[in-house]
Amino acid sequence: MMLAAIDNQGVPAARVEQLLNEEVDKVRTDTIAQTELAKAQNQYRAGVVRQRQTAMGVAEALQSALWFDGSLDGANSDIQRHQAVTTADLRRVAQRYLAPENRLTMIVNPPAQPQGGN
Amino acid sequence: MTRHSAQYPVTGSVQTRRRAVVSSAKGTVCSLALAASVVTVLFAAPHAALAQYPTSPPAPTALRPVRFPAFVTARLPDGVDVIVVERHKQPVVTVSLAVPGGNIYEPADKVGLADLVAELLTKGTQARTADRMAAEVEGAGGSVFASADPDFLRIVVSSLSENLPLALDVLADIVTHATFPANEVELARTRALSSLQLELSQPASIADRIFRREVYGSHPYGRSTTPASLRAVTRDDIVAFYGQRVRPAGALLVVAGDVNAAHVRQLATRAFAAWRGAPPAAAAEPAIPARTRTELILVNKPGAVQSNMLAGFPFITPRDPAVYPLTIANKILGGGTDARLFLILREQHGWTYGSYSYFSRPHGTGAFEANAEVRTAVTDSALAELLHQLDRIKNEVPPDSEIAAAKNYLAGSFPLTIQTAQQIAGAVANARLLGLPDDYVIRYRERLAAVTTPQLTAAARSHFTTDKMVILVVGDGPTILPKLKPLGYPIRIVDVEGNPLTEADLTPRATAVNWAVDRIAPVSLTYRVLLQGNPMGSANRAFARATVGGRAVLQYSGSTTIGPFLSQSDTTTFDAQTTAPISLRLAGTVQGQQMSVQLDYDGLHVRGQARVPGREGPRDVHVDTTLAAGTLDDNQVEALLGALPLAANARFTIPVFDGTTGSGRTLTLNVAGEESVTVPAGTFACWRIEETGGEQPLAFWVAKDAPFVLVKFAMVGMPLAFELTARN
Repeated sequence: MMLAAIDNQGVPAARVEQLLNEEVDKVRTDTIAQTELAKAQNQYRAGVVRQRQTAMGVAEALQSALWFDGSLDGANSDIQRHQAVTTADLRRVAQRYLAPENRLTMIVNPPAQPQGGN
Repeated sequence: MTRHSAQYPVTGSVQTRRRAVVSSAKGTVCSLALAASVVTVLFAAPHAALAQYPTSPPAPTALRPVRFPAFVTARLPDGVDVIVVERHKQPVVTVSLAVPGGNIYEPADKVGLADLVAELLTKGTQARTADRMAAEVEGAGGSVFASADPDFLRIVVSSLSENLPLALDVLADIVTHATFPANEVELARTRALSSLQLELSQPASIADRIFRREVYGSHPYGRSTTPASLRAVTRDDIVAFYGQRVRPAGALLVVAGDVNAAHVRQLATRAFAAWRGAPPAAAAEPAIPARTRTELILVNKPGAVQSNMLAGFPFITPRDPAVYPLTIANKILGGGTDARLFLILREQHGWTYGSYSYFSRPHGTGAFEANAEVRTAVTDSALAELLHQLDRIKNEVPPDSEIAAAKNYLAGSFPLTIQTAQQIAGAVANARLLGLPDDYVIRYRERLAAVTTPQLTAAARSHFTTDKMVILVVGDGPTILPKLKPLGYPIRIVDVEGNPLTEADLTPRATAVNWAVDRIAPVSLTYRVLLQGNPMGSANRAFARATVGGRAVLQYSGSTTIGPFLSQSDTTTFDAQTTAPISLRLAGTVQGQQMSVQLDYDGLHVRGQARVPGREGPRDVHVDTTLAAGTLDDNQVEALLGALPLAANARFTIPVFDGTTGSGRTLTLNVAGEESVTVPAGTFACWRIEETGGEQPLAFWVAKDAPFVLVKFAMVGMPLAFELTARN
């Protein structure tokens, strides 16, 4: 998982990093609203179903199941597994994987300001 | 709003004529596309042993029948025709509603009205705000989209099939209770004007607009939106068009997907119960002008480095049985990367990235065109070859192998175009709307396969009217006119808006400008740079008076920083009385590459050098050139905006020299209106000035009152703007 932000002029990168971390920590400590979860699940399911209308989409789904789940059956249980996720699951997984010690932060600064000009 | 080329099923490949966007404006060079590319996905090649590659492609297998689901048709009490296509493969549904409410029903001076109505249909109803409608539909994993084409206005809702009731409810809400909020009307107009301004700078769009006007004359298919036609549309026009045209009689509802026909009919009857009425009878369409000879129209786009060419003529209605042989003929001529135009103009000669042909299929008579975009130097050779290929397809019998390959491609790829519920709904709706038989989609491949060689050659001979063509070339007039004359066609010259020009007009005449240089006050200005509305950088500009070698001069200096992408500083020096340029010094970095320009002007001569960033690394430009009288440095234009004698509708044509290309060009500055502009520095009464003729069309807002400062500056069609934050 990757989060990215571009800071406005004059906003220190550390401030943006802090805000991003606060949002991640909210997922770990607060419970996501049921409506937000349902919306994400609906969109995921609709996306998967739409993809599978074409021969190419089916091929991609099978390839992905074999690669990531180790079995073609993964393609058939994909939607159910996403539908079964609860808000408690979100918090549990977030606590395990989105832990501060797992984070790697990269800050890219512009090159030094040009001299001259007014 | 390119019309009726994109929205109809076209025969031939999708055109790829859009140019890569490279922005270069007033010494501010930045490639915004690079800013967006963050992620690169690398596909690692498998470590398999290299197989022995076959030298010829495998032969196509025999066609298997397309199992196209049966239609169920019905008519609702209010007159809506309903077609249900049950397809239970996946739990999705697409609901498409079309009414005869396309551009042909607009008043001639309000072209674009139907597009505005379509865009605004999803921007609010009595029961749902735009936000709520989006949240409801997207929350259920669906989408809603409305658009207008020349003949029809369509609303398409896609969703999971369990949400069919919601889809129909939203659709019925839109057609009975759209509210067209005034603020949304103005937003839609602003977006339309902005995309039109960009369109008018693109040679392919310019060619399309003038081609349609030439082919269709006063027929509505020949009209295009203009800034004036978009501005003429009032909210009352929008409400009236909606009230007249979005009516159930003559409407077509297609529901395709995992649904039950009887259930759909029941739901639709209930959802559309309150929808009543019929659109007024349409006025008789004017005839398409009969042409007696082929004519070449040169569209002068000063400074263009490429020529966009196309040759075409009115073609057939979609109901003409010749559509089958002509689809095959078009495939052979220019319907893809294995067709003659592509293979000869690109693969064999290397004149172009691509050359294609296609024909549009509106409800009435469509138009055929063959096109290519080539570099200026080969304009004549490429056009001669393109015309030769048109003659061949008309007069020669193609070899059996080419006919078989074209048929195989068309028949073999057809099933891939009717895989999704959305594609099926679109294909079925199109067939019905275009007046084709209900078995059109089902028997399409069979009818193509049955075309005989004599039928093919007979259709090509009578429909490729190469003796009565419109040939259009959009390019740098002074360079290409001498190349086009030997082709022997009568030539007419027009500007990019289609206004007639004479040969003498091709040499741009600079406007004699009475510069009000005294208006320029020693002032310091700071700006913020907005990228997609977010502050991404800053800039400052300052005027100073000085004396150089006994000559009173003005110095315009500034620096600009945009995120990590660009930082530069520059100073332009020019004569304080005559505005004659004296020097330019510019230095900075763009995307990590060094950039610099040093120019020294001496009378009508300029010398210097530039280092310009590019995709393959920096490029050096050496400058040693004589200029036309009155030429300014490209960077001076921004400095002198406040010194222009600005007035409503004033237009200035100014030759400039651009050190980053080492060449001159002619800019046109058009006072497009008066606007009140609010920026962080305050609210200013401004002239809006549109600049064309540069790499990218620009818009400037200049204060109408002293000290006549530049308040805002934007790249048209790009999400980049500068706004004044302070002046001292």
